[in-house]
Amino acid sequence: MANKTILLLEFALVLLASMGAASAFGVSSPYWNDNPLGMQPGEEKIVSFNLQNMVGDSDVQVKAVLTKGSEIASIEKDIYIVKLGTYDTKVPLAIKIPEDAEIGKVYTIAVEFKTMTPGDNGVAMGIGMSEGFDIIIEAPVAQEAAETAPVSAESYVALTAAVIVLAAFIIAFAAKKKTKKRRGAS
Amino acid sequence: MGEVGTALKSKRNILLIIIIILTIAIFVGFPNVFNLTGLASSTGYTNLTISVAGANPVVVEFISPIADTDPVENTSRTISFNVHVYDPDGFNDVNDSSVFANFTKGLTTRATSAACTQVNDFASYRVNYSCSIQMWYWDANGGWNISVRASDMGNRTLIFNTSSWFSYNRLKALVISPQSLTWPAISSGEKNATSDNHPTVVNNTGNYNGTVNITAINLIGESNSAQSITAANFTVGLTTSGAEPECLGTVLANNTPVTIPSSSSSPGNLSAGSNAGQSRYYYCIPQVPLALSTQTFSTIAGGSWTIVY
Repeated sequence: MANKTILLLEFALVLLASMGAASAFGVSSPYWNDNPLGMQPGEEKIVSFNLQNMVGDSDVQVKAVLTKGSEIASIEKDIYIVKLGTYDTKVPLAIKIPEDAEIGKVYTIAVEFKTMTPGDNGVAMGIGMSEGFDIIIEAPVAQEAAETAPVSAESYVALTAAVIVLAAFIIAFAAKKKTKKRRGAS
Repeated sequence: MGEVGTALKSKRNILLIIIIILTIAIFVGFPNVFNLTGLASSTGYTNLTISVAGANPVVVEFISPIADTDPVENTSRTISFNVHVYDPDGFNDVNDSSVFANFTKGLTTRATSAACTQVNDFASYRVNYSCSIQMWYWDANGGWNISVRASDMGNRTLIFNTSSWFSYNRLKALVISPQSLTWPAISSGEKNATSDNHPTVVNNTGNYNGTVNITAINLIGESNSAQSITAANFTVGLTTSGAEPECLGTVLANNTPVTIPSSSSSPGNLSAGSNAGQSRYYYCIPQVPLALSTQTFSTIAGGSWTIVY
């Protein structure tokens, strides 16, 4: 019984000390499982995740860990401070595909983001986000033919004018030739 | 006879060339050159109907590309873009109040709240408009179709351009409350000890629709760190009642993400107050470990638990 009483007191203290407000955090990504990234052998690219802290009541410290894809990707640093009221703290992920990467090969990228929440009394709760996407290796694309620009009505007018001028030349030329022939015949 | 034949051939060639040229010109260009936009008609009276301007419909010929766009946590984001409307009858014929735009994905549509704003005119025939559409944090990620419509003063036919798309990125975002869990007085061997400040309310402030995982950490004794209440002593459920169903919930594991079944915190308008975008988690210690000394157990030494999305 004594044991229980002491536990009660201590947990009561915990209760008073650890009542917290809300914790908030977000990560946006341009690629996800159903929206893979296509890259070519030898290609390099930087894909940015965006950290957001629009709802909380203080700045948030976030740890980023690349858990899959380290053979082709890297993150320049692992701790980010996300200021309160911001949605544009970028986490650049540098990707470099090997020159000899096989066409059709799929690399998987996974990055874990986690708020660095102090242990605190009781059971402190943090937020984690698991981001990931596939990179599909594609064959180099041949230089695409220049797209044909849609012809506007103004272009039609110019075309018509050109046709008329050309026609005038042809008619004049034909008439001149005819006259010459007549003169030659006479 | 030969000369006459040659002359006839020459005449025929010239005539043929003229016919070809006139045909091309009539089909391709003359209407624009002379702005002939209608035909006159007459009856026995002298009622004459001539449409000189406005008979041609507009063309929504350009929509400026929209970059991949991030949603913003728990709020909306205005996406602006430009639209060029062409009218062969001149820019004065474009009906400024007819130019609207919307984004569509599946059954969801986000639209301009008013007509797009005229910015300027180009070279007699085109008008440049600025359109703005508000997208919300819970709007689905992926490709959204851009539709722009416009009409003119004369023809009045609504012309649509639905050929453009943009990508609305994925946003995983949560707000959790409270930031820490507590228990009332518990004793070694006690059964079904539930938290006294649960649930953890999880609000989905992004557009990701997924399942919640919880990574628990063993609670270490603050006075005697050799003792702990392990993560596996805790269970989590999505409901609570007098029967304490959370005590039969999902068993947690130390430093391992454990999926909470049926925990989908689907995106939605949190302000609507219908529990959209919200889920709740209730915690229990089905049996407090035996032979624990009297002390405080907490996450101070081991680190916080994490709700992973």
